[in-house]
This record gives sequence, C-alpha cells and structure tokens, in this order.
Amino acid sequence: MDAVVDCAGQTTREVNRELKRLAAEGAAEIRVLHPGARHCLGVAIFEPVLIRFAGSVGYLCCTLGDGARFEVEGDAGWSVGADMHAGSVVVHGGAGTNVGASMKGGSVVVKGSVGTRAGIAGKGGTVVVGGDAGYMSGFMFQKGVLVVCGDVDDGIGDSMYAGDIYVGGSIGEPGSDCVVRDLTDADERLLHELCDPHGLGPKRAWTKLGSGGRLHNFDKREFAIWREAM
Amino acid sequence: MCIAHTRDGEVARRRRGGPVGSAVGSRGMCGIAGFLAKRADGPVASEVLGRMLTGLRTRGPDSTGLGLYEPATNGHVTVRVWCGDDAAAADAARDRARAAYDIDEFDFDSGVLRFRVDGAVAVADICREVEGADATVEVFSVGRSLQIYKHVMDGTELARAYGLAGSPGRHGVGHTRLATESRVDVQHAHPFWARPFADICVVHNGHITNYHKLRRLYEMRGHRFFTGNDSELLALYLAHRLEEGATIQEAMEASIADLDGSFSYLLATADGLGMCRDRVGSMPGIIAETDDWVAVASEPIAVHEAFGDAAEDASFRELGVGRAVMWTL
Repeated sequence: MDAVVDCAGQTTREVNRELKRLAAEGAAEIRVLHPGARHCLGVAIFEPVLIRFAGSVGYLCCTLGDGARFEVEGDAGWSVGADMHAGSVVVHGGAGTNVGASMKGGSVVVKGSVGTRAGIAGKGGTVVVGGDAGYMSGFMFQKGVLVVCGDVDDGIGDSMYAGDIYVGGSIGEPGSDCVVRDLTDADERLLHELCDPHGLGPKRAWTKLGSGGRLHNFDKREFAIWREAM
Repeated sequence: MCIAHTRDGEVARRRRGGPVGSAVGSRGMCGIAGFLAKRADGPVASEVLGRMLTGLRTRGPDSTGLGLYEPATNGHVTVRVWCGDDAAAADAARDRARAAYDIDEFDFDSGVLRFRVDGAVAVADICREVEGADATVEVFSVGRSLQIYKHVMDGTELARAYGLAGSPGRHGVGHTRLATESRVDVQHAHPFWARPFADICVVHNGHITNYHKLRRLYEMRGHRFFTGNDSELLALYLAHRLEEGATIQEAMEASIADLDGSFSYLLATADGLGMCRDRVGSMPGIIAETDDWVAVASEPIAVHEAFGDAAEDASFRELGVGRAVMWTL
C-alpha cells in the first residue's frame, strides 16, 4: 500500500521531514493529503519516489529535486519545480510566476496557464505549459526547452543566451534579441514527444524562437542594442 | 529604499516573536486580500477576510488592517478618528466634533473615536473640524458603509479589539504589513483611505519609487500627509484622479503609467472591488473565482485558509502585468 502523509495538523517542516524519511526508506509512492496551497512542500527530495499532492500547492513546491517525481492534482503557486536537477513535476491545474526557474534538468509540465517569467534563467531540462504564459517568459534562458501551447505575453525570450522556445499560440512583442527560427522535422518530433503524453498540443501552429546572439558579447559600437535591451 | 525600522517597529516585532515560518516570511513583503460575495446571501466578508489574513500573516507581522463595507446607514456617514493613547487628544477631538455637528453618540475603542454625521456634510469639512490643528489626530475613514480598522496587532487581536465578529457586509479588503520603507505604527498601517472620497480605500503590496517626487508635487498643491508611507500617496493619487473626473477603472489604469516601482494593490468602493498590478509583475496578485464569490490575494494560501477544501473548486489565475480589473456588487 502507498504511504500517506496528511498535512492537516502538521507544520510544513514536519511534512517535509516525513516525506524525506519515507523516500529514504524506499517508498515508491506517497500521497499527500490537504496540501492547502502551502508553501515549500516537497523540497530537496533526492530519491526516485512519486509524490502526489491531492490538491493545490503554494510557492516553491517540488523544488531543488534530484530524481523525485511529483504530481499536483490542483494548482501550484510561484516557482514550482525551480532549481530541479532531475526528476519531473506534473501540475494538473495552472501555476503562478517563475515556473521551473533556473532548472538544470528534468521536466515540469503545467497543463493549465501560468503567470509571468515561466522558465526564467533555465539551464536545462524542459518546461511545458498547456495554456498561456505571462510576461517575460523564457527571460535569460540559457539551455533546455520551453514549450507554451497557448499564447505568450510580451517579452518572450528576452535576453536569452541559448536553448529553444516553442509557442503554439500568439506571441506578444518578443523580448530583446529573441528571433524566430525555422521549425524542423526534429522539432516537430520533439514537440509530439513532450506534449502527446499529456494530451497537449498547439493552440494554432508552432513557432520556434531562439537567441539572435547579438547580446553574447558587448561591443560599444552596438550601444543602441544594449540601450534597448537594458 | 533602505530598510529602517524605528524603535517602535523593533518593539512590535519582538513582542510578536517575528513571522511564523520565517523562510516564507522573509521573502514576501505585505499581504493583500480582497473579497466580494456575488449574492446578498453569500459569505460574510469580515469573516472571510479575517481567515484570509491568517493565511497571509507570514507576509506581514508588523500590523493588520481591514476596510469593511457594512450595509449603509440611512443618510449618515460613519467617521473613524485615530486619537492614539492620549485621552486628552480624544476628548479634544470629541469636543471639536460635538461643537461642529449634531452628534447622538460617540464610542471609543483602542484609540479610535467613532461617530455618525449627516451624510450631506462635505467630507473635507468633517476632517478639518475634527482634526483641527492636532497633528496626532487623523480621520482614518469616512463612509456611508466603509469603516477602516487597523492596528499594530495580528488579525485575531484586531477582530477582538474592535468587535468585528459577525460584522455584516458583502465585500472588503485586508492587509498584513511588513514595513520596509517607513515606521511601524497604527497610522502607517493599511488600508489607506482615499481622502476626501467617502467609501474608497486602498491596500498595497510593493514600493512606489517615485514617491518623493510625487509627494512634493502634492504638497505644493496643499495636500497634507499624515505618514511617511508610500501607500498613503497611492490612495491620494487615486483620489486625485477621481477628482479630475476619472472612473475608478480609468484611475487604476492611469496609475500603471504614472507610478514607478513595484505594486499590486486593491481599491475598494461602496459597491466594488478593484485590483491593479504594475508593468513587470514584481508583486504577486491572484484571483480566485466561483459563481458565488471572488477572492483576490497575494498568495493562493489565503483563499485556501478561508475556504478549506472548497477552495479547490474555485478557478485561480494571476492578474496579468500592467492590468487593472474590477468587480461590482
């Protein structure tokens, strides 16, 4: 039988200690009841356990993971899956700002819409958003893949260094030095691979975005570019 | 802006033992909450907001406040006047009010003098008569239905101090404050009344960075500031826009361009609740909605604290950056 942890009547620290203890003892799956949009649940879990939250979680949940898998049956707050090294997060509802911030590996899938700055400073791994994403998503993206099936607000991919961003809906004013790239067959295959298992797909048609590379090196003769970017 | 707590603030903070769950408390600054029941028989705003502020206590351990809208009393406005701990100041304010208006009764609770005045009297006149030249006396709110309750205490203590249990009304706003730019005392607590507009108040999370420039501008026009809190300026700014003829929606939209810095704020009126977010979305602002009510807050946990498992049935979304939205009764 799967392990169960009930947040009711416990502090967040007590819940996290219990999750870590069960994971260290080799639990395959843990169901967490009454998460109540609490912050910092499921932080720094390094075992390949599956943790299911039976409801919504708050800020900074499922973060600093290295191998753990998470499912959130409701919504998530800011920074879900941030700083993950390996593992996965699937959020069945929507999520707040900073989804998968500074991720190094693993995957975060949010089936609904997300707030601003999704995938900010991503350093690897994949972030997939089933709905729309807010302002400045993919800001300073460095490596990895950001997929938004719906529309994106202004500033997508602003000052991104590298990595690939795919948008399935409309695009607001793109960010500084974010440029449209040709969509290849390999891109199409990757998008099917990332979206199909979750029943997701583009709102209209895929657009691929990447870094124009103009901000990689400073040259004072190109000061106008920097003035605009800053 | 620098973080400069006064000695009062330090005392208040020590007495309360700091925020619960400091990892979260140290990240957020100030919690805002708003609630509006879509039907007359819906949840009572004072009770919902009280629970929402419990959920946001970690964002603001310094002070707590509520702007509650009770059903209007026929033809009268309720005036709430901060007189502080000085009994002589309260007596003097009472005498000034009695001399100027025909007032049936006064009550005095935790530093606040409350009375009713005929609604036909100009609000600015009420303030001038009651405050007189006493710099420590401040009219906190005037309204046919609005009453602002705020103090250097948590939400539970606030409700007890002012007898808010069961206070009727369908909408209102609340605030938990973590002071980062001005002193911790009752007058610096939110909500701020959009003086001299009856029934309009504001709660704010963030910093208005062109505060000093705008404050000088308003002072040159003759406006009086009671605090060093940038959120007082936000209320004044919105009042000024309304004075110029803007609708509430237009005033909020204008603020997005005119105010620098980070802000998510709520503006409440006699029959509505508005929410506004700055151009880069540096401060949070979520909207939870069902067929029966709308609840807005800094964090979803406030709504979950208020509604428990039923919160899972509400639809949550973030207000987009640089946007303003309103709901009416």
